Amino acid sequence: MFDEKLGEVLCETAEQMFFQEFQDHTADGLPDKVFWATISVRSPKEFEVIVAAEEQTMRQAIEMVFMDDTLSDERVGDVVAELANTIAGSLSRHISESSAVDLSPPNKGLGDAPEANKYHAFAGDDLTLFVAVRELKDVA
Amino acid sequence: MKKVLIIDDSETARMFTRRCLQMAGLEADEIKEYESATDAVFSMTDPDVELMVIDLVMPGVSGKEFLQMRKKAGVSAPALVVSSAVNAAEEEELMQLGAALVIKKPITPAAAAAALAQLGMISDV
Repeated sequence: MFDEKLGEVLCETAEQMFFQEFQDHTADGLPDKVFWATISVRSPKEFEVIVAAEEQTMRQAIEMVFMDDTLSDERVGDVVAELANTIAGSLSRHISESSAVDLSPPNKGLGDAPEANKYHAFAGDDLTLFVAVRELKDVA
Repeated sequence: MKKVLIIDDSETARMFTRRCLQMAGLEADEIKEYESATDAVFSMTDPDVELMVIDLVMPGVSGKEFLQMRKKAGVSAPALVVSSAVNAAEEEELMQLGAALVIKKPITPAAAAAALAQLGMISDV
């Protein structure tokens, strides 16, 4: 149920954060080393949002936004986590405008992307974002 | 001395918020950033604070709990909630807890300008 909305939410959020347009993209799997972040949504429905991007292109895109080329891994991971958080919140609002929205703090890392059935790829000018949603179960 | 508090556990979110508020025309003598609501508790009653920008989902004291503490302490400076975890029902609850306005993440300069104008902190946009 998320696929249709996911692209819209991701592209809108990423455009506002990175000042570039994103579109659906066909990718041959994920890069080997990615910055990744997950947010668990506990209400109005249980699901998890995963965002990942190749290490160097993600770092460069964020350096452009921050105008700083000395960013720590922690700082880059924080941007990925913020992106995942915003997507999770937008999807939650899409599910229900009346139930409580309950999001977890982010998990984040650098290395292999977390496993998921399907990652969707969205490409901007110089950055490709990979997003997956793991649906768990209905809470309501 | 006009102070603004930005309370968000994400350094990125604090940076975006600060930048959007400044691009929107906010004039402040000092913008103080806090990575947790716990750290910001002692500043919330500072009479020089003219605006508090608060995230909701934070480890430790949450944004909602901070709003409750703020309400109990009788703080008059407006609280602007910036969060992704807000829908219509949540927004109503936040307003009852004393939030002046709610902005959905990601914050943009236009959204910040509209909020500041509504709070009378800049001229109408």
